Amino acid sequence: MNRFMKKYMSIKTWLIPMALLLLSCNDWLTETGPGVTELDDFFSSGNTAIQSVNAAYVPLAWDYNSTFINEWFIGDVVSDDALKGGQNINDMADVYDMENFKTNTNNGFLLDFYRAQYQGISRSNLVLQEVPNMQTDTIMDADLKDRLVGEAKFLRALYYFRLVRVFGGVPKIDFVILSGNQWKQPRASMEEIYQFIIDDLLDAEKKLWVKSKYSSEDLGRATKGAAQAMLLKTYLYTHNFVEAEKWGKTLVKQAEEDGEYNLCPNYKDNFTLAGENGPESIFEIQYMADPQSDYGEGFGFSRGTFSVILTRSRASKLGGGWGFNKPTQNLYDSYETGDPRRDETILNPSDEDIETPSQEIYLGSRYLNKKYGMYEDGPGNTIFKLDHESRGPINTKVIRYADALLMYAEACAENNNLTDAKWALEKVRERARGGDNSLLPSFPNYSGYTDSKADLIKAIRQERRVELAMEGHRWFDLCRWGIAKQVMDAYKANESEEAKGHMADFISGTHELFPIPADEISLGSLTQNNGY
Amino acid sequence: MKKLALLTCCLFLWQFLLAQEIVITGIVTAADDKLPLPGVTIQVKGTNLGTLSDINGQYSISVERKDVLVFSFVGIKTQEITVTDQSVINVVLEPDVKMLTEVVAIGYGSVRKSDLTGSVASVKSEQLQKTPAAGIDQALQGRVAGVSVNAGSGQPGAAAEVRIRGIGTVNNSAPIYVVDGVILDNISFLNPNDIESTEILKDASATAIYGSRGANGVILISTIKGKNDGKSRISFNTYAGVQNRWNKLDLMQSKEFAETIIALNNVQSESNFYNNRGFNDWLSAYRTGNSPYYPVIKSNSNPDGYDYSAIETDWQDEVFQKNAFIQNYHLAIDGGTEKSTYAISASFFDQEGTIMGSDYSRITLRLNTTHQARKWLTVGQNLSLISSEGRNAMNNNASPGASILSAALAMAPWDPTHYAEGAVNRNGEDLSGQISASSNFRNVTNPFSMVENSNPSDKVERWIGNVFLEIKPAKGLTFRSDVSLDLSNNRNKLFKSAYRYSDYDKADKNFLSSSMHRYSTIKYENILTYNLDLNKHSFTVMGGTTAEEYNYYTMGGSGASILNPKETNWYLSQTTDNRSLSSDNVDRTRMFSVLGRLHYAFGNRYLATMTYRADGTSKFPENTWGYFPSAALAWRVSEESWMKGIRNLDYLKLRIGWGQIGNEKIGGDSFLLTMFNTGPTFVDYVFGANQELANGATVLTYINKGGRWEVTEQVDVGVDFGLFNSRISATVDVFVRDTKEMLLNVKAPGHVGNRYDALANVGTVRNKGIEISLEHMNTIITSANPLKYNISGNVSFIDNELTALNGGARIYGDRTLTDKGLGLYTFWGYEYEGIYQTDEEALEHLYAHTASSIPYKAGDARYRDLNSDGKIDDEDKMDLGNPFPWLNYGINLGVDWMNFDLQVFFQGVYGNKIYNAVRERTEGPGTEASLSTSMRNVWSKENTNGDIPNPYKAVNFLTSSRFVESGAYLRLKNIQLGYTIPAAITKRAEIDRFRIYLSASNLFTFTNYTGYDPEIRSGVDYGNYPQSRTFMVGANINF
Repeated sequence: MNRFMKKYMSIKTWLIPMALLLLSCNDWLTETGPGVTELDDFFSSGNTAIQSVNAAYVPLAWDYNSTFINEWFIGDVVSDDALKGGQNINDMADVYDMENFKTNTNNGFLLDFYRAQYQGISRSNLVLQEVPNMQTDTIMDADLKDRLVGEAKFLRALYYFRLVRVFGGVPKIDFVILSGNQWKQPRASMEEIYQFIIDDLLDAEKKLWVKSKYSSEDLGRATKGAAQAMLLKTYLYTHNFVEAEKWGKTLVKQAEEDGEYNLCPNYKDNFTLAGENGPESIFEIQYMADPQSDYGEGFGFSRGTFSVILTRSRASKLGGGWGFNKPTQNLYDSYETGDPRRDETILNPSDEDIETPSQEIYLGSRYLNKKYGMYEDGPGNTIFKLDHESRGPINTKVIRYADALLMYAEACAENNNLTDAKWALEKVRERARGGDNSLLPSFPNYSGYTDSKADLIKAIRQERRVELAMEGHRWFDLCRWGIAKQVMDAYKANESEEAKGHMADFISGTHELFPIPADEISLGSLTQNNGY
Repeated sequence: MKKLALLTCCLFLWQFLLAQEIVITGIVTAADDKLPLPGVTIQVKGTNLGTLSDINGQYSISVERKDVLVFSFVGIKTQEITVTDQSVINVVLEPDVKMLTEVVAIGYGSVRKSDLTGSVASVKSEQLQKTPAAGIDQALQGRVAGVSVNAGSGQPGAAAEVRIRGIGTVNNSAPIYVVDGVILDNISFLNPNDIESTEILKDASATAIYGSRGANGVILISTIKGKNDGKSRISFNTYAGVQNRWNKLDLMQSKEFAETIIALNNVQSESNFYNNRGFNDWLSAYRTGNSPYYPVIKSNSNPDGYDYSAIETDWQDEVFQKNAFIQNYHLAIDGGTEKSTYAISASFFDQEGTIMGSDYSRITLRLNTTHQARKWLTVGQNLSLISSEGRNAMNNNASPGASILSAALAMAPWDPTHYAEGAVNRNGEDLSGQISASSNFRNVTNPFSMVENSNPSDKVERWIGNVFLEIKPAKGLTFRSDVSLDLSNNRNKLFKSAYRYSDYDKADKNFLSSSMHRYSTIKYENILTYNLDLNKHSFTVMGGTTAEEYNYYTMGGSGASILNPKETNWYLSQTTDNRSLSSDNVDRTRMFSVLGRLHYAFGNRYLATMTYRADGTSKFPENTWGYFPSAALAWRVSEESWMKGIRNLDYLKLRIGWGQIGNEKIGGDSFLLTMFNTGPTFVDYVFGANQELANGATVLTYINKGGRWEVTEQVDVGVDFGLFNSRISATVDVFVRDTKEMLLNVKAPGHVGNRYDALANVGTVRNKGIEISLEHMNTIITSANPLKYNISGNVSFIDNELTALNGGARIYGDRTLTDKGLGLYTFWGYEYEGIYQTDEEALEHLYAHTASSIPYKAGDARYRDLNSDGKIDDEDKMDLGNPFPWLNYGINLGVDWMNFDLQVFFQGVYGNKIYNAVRERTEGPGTEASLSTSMRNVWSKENTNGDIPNPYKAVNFLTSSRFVESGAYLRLKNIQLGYTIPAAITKRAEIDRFRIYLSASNLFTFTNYTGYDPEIRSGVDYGNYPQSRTFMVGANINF
């Protein structure tokens, strides 16, 4: 025993192995774990650059977080075009408040929508921080690298555009926020944000490729034309009609001369699965059929959209959806006699197709939005059967060529270029006619219009309403035209007593914007919008 | 033969002659102070005959010669004296040194109980075994001062929430469990019958030896080991019983429900229709309509239709099972020789749930051995194998219909569970026997569909064990090397059938998901301990290192459309559609620690303990090492010579301790800034004409790289004392526990673009409290059969407060706020003041609005305008209480009389609040849930005394005190009556002890809470799985 002790228990024998042990164990503890990719090691090949851009598109597709956050809940439902719908007034209560001008600052829809856009912005910022410094390689040549940067800039502009027209000025973030010290950022003014959007778009427009240059696997990415259309749109929002007309012209030239874009022969082709990313498509949010998409618990885990199930009729005969975004009588009546677009936009179910009137007729409206219901996308033009219980594959149309033409018409008319304005307007009406020349006469020969700038602008605005109805544009158009109060008051006056009972008054100077979410106000010490 | 008979006769006669009664008298005195001892039990061995010594220590008893008298008393060594021919027997009883030398585990060693310097509570294993619980976490409820247990869910197999000395952090605040030296974070696998001792280390000086894992307290468990006494013992324990729900909500029946929701909806045409056409026509027109999922309803034109008006379904009765069975069997053998010991056990536990579709069963095998291989070398092992399987009923989810119970509440009372024979829909399809579609709230799954079409199975196989060697190279010196492995393979499988009962309650294809999860922790530990006694100085020095690695790996997939969906085909290989087989995931953390402890005692009076531990962990890349010191002093005042004269004071010890400990329980890579590239979730996007997913990668969350463990600093002052020969013993502790650098899930402003919240060490939390444990044991002389009883109680007061955020953001939870100056997870909302009786009253109260814009009208909830600014907004929200009780208590009463034993155990909490979201739903418009009968008293212009505001208005459901209820309760947790069959009878069957008992759990609950059960984990009750009332019979048999 003693010998054992002498040999092994002396301090010296233990000291060296102990020291070695401690030294080596530090390495052992700090070794990078399995399955972990650290940021510093990531941006090393062209493929990773592409991946980082792909991820920047994803928040566009999020239409669910803790509540459904599709943009049309604002663009259509808040306007005179549609009522919220759903099972009853409590269904999507956040939207009920918004459509009736009773929005609280703790509105969950607005918070989720706000945060989703900024996630898109931070993803774009990450691309813009890392990719420009990368070396080109066999996968990413200089041209592709340019395009990727252009895509990120386009996306950042689009996300800011989605924010600014709902909330007004928001914090302007053009860098990756790595440290908590940079968390506090002030609200920029609405003008600064629009300028920021324009700057991004101008750069993106230079770098992006024309639509035809993309391979078929890359369909759906931002294009030069998309950047031009967004420039046209943004300049309209800032009432810079000269620049708007300029970019409109550029885009129209791309379409008419280079053949990059064209109106679909049939209006309805824009709203079918087969017609996705078609000739008229300038930018769409891409969705696919995937039964593996979760219900929404994955928080933004989207591969399909909720728009289909949300807008479909609640009657099982018509697909058993949830019946949101119900067109108003006001919209229904605003179509000219015989306008074929009405019945491609509004589904008026027969009595036979209504199973439970108390749930399918919402505050007097029985109509359904036909554009996202996929009512004819199944075999033999039957109702498309969703292979996921609540998600569908139809893309969300952000900008299509008809929209661009009408924006161009608007810009031209505002600049007194009535000829080009009428040309663009007529182009849209001509397609709407579907070859039946007895319908939809050319401007000014309908609705009592005279051949004046004022009436032309009126006619273009009305055309926008019916051509783009139920695609989420109306509310934002009313606000930028500055006629929201006038239109909404008139609409309310003619609504059913039942619907009217729920509506609060529109207050000019307040209700054009929605409140910055209360959480953001407190987390970021932001100022609140007027009136909230 | 005759001779033999005669001889036998003679022998009996002899016996008879010998067996004359004599009276023995005497005085019992104590050995230490030579004073007479009253109340000593004097019993004739093997009989029920006995008496007690009186106040002067004198006794008198009638016995027969050769009887053996047993003198026993609490805290005194039992003495046996055989009666010969003397008639006076004076007895001097020695104090029971065994009690003083009782050894308790303290982590990496043990110490005599009398030498403890920290706050350590022991729980007797027989107490833990009284409650019919799968795990000892639930059985600990109410047993120890300062240990708060919330069973949380009545789901069989669910782990309870155990908190020691309050809730120290918003992160994982669960204690760690150390079973035979293996550190674990849950013990639901352990059968309480296998436990020999349980020690709870509460203060920092006791837990600091566990360093970065000690902050939330440590529960040390030793399983039963063999004894080296050359004997072997066999024991068999079993119980079986039935469980039932003890509470039910009072909901409206079909007709009243229909009329109430029609009245609430307040559409004249609808009520006219109902009044004129009747229930069936109304249901048809306003609910089922022409949908093919409902049978054609009986009407004038369809006299053979389905008569919904005749249906009255009590959905609560349907989903709660009656007499759910619970059973437990435990067979053990242990023993040993001088050199080897062993303990082997096998047990089976099986519990059905009181809610349909939930159950749990578990098999546990255990083997502990030691072997002294050389004089200086002992080797041994402890090994457990556990296999458990359960089915989850889902629990407490905000979504109506996400659990069986909440789905049951969402179904209308006129909906049958299944359509009766002959039900035919409008297309002529036969619906007979089919599970019904919910007709009132359509977006809900029928609970029977959940159970019958969904087949979840969660299986766990777990191996926990260690192998150790102990070398004693010299006197006082012990080296122990220990390798342990905790390996768990979890198999989760879910098969859902294809069916269609409605557009919501359907699955177009059958679906299978299947995954395996493997968790393993391997640990290598080397501990050197040295004891040295020098005159009055006694030292124990312990030092050592531990290294461990945790690995997690999971793999799983899913698929649809199994062509022949019988159970034997529920495998991914059989799926033909939508196969997703590629998901796997991995995680690893490592830890290396150096630890040491010095225990010093001077003259048995002054005790000091110092510990130090350094933990290095892979979790914190920029703060790998953490250092955790502690110190404690104790003074055994009663050992001072000047205290010796004080009568009736058995012992008195003062303790003071301080320590800094850590909490490192956060995810392994929370502080690594990583690119997330493992979509499709969050990062993959659809491109291309063929619409295919393109891989994406981004940073989901910009984390805080400098994060580290949370530090808890705790000071504890305690006193232990015993009075009247240990008839009364007590422990009182006062502590202040400060959590510093609490990792707060700091919510960044939206513009940072984080998917998840980043963590930062910012918050501080203070828990302070007082804990009192009292025990009283005594024996009462009433007759020849003495009555022994004991009463023990414990109570703890805890005050919990978030003391600083230090730049961190407040945390908004589910109706809660965690903010400076509030308890953690404080319910945050408006104070409900009643109902506006008129529009004018609303305008007057909320004068910042105009008549057209005010969101409140007559019949709406009146909230307190806290800052009197004429509007209701965030500034008016206030503290509505929090879900944690500030008072926890338990009272145990035990009585032994003759062969009977009785135990009555009460447990309760006070001061906690529950947000009753079930009531919120059942006092709503009736669109998503059945209505409570309290809705009879809804406010209306006709019923201005009504106490429920307009259920159709969203503003009336803002978080307010209206739905915050007291969660206080007092529960008769357990009552048990046992009978031990007299040894004289059982000996014939070679049974040493045969005890049978009747037991009832949760027999009474006194509470004002109006939901199912006041034990709610998160504080918000969405239809939590309630605790059940259990009746059992059981037996303990020792051979």
